[in-house]
Amino acid sequence: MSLYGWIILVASVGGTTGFLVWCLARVLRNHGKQDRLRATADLDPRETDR
Amino acid sequence: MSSGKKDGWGSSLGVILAVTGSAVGLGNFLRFPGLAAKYDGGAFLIPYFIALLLVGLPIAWSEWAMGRFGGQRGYNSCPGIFRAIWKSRASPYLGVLGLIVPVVIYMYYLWIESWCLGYALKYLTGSLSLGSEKAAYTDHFSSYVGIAADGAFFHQGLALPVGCLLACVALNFFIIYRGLSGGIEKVCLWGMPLLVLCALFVLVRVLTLGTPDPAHPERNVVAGLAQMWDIRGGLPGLLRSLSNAEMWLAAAGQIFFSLSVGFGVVINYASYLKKRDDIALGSTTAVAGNEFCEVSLGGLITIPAAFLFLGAAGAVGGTFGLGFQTLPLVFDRMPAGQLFGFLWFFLLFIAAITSSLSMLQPAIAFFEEGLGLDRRGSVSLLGFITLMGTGIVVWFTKDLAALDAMDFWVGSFCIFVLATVQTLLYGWVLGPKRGREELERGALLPIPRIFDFVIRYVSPVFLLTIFILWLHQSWASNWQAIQTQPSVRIALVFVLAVTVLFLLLIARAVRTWNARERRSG
Repeated sequence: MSLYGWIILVASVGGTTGFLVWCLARVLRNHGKQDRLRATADLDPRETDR
Repeated sequence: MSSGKKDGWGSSLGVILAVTGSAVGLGNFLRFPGLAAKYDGGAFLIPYFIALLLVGLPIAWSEWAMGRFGGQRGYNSCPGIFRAIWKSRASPYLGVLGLIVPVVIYMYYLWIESWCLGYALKYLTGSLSLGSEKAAYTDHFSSYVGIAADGAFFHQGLALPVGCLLACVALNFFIIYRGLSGGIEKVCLWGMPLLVLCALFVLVRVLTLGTPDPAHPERNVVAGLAQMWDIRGGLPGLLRSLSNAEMWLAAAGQIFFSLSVGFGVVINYASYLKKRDDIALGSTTAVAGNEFCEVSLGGLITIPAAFLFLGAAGAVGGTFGLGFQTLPLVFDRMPAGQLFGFLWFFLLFIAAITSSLSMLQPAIAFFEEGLGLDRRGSVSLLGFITLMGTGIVVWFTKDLAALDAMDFWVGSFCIFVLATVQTLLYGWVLGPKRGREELERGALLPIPRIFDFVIRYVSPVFLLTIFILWLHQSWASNWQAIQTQPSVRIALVFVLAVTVLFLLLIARAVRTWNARERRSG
């Protein structure tokens, strides 16, 4: 495989994998925080039955 | 709106996995690699990622924002959400697209899902080892789906193919009956990691095969990767490939279909989110999950595996050809192929069921909030409608005519129309200001400012350009099929009848919503 091929492979696979890991890390890190925020800040009555 | 307790998601990770599960399907593992191999390997990835940035991500963000906007105003179905966004008498009727697209696609997708389950069971029992000739696998597939004549699928009696179809019907409706958090979310929380795990097992197997056939030393792992990823002809070859308009169209179409944008599903799923859920991060993560499955898993498995055993000539083909005819031959020649064949078709089955489940929820939501039906009533009504449609698809199996017709007119044509309508609604009716407020509420991930410009101007133009080029390419053959094949006409008359039924139900729902609004002042 040529150098161009390796560059495309590493950039695409590395990019999509890294992108997912970065996003998932942020989701998991902020998961608890968001729930705590919601408990005090969400006073919208429309949400009370959810 | 139903007066009962409203459905909802249990966790932010659950909704992300549900949206990812809806998007990840056979296209990620079969269609994407097939297209990349067809259009000069690595060169295909350049228009592919450009389309992701210009169409995929912006439309995904806008769908999540519109969905939650409607959900906060008490609507979960496309007609209701469109009505909440656009105060026009026509808007709920435009939302009919958000109901018929997922429902009709479900009718034939369910059948394909049952093939994956059937093939997985055949590998489990060791009955799919048919020798080293591709013709044997092609014949097997043809007889499995009954491609030779209408009604041939049922000539097998209550054998495995019909049994698997019935099992898939039962499984889908059992899960959907259990609701969002108790059904879909639970399945996706377990199913998506299991899918990735199965794919990783198969990936490791493929990448450690070395040179499986000493008689063909040129068929090795690196050459297999090159078949998928290399740029043929160096820089001049890359420039030549990039000047191919057809490749740009194929790449944009793949992004579009792969992310399930314009499907009516994401807008429905997002409507169940809470006011301060981070939809910017959620939607971006779901897109990232889909791209990981497509590029990092599908891109590294399918074409290299086919090349290792069949050479360059074997590593091409469409979704069904590659998936159900070429790969079984590959697994036959692969060490421990029975195990990896099972894992492969089982992962395709998981990908299919997480998608088919998502196609049922938009109509369920509409029956509940528009007609006031409870879960049992809405599941029963939808079950009746979809069973009739699936019946048509699995009866008119000759050359898969009914399936192809529904796939073209609803699974492609209507999706383009719905995506364009949604993009225009977001960019020009809801407006970037209100849309951004929705996107940024509770968001920890900033959405770039340029998104407002892209979704308003670039995405609609890009979508319409692809739509016109695509129609120009495929209109003639599909129009001819209507004129020459009675089974195609029957399938489309049925789709039309379902559309009229939904329009009548929307009219009734609008009267209910209007009356409720008058009562509440």
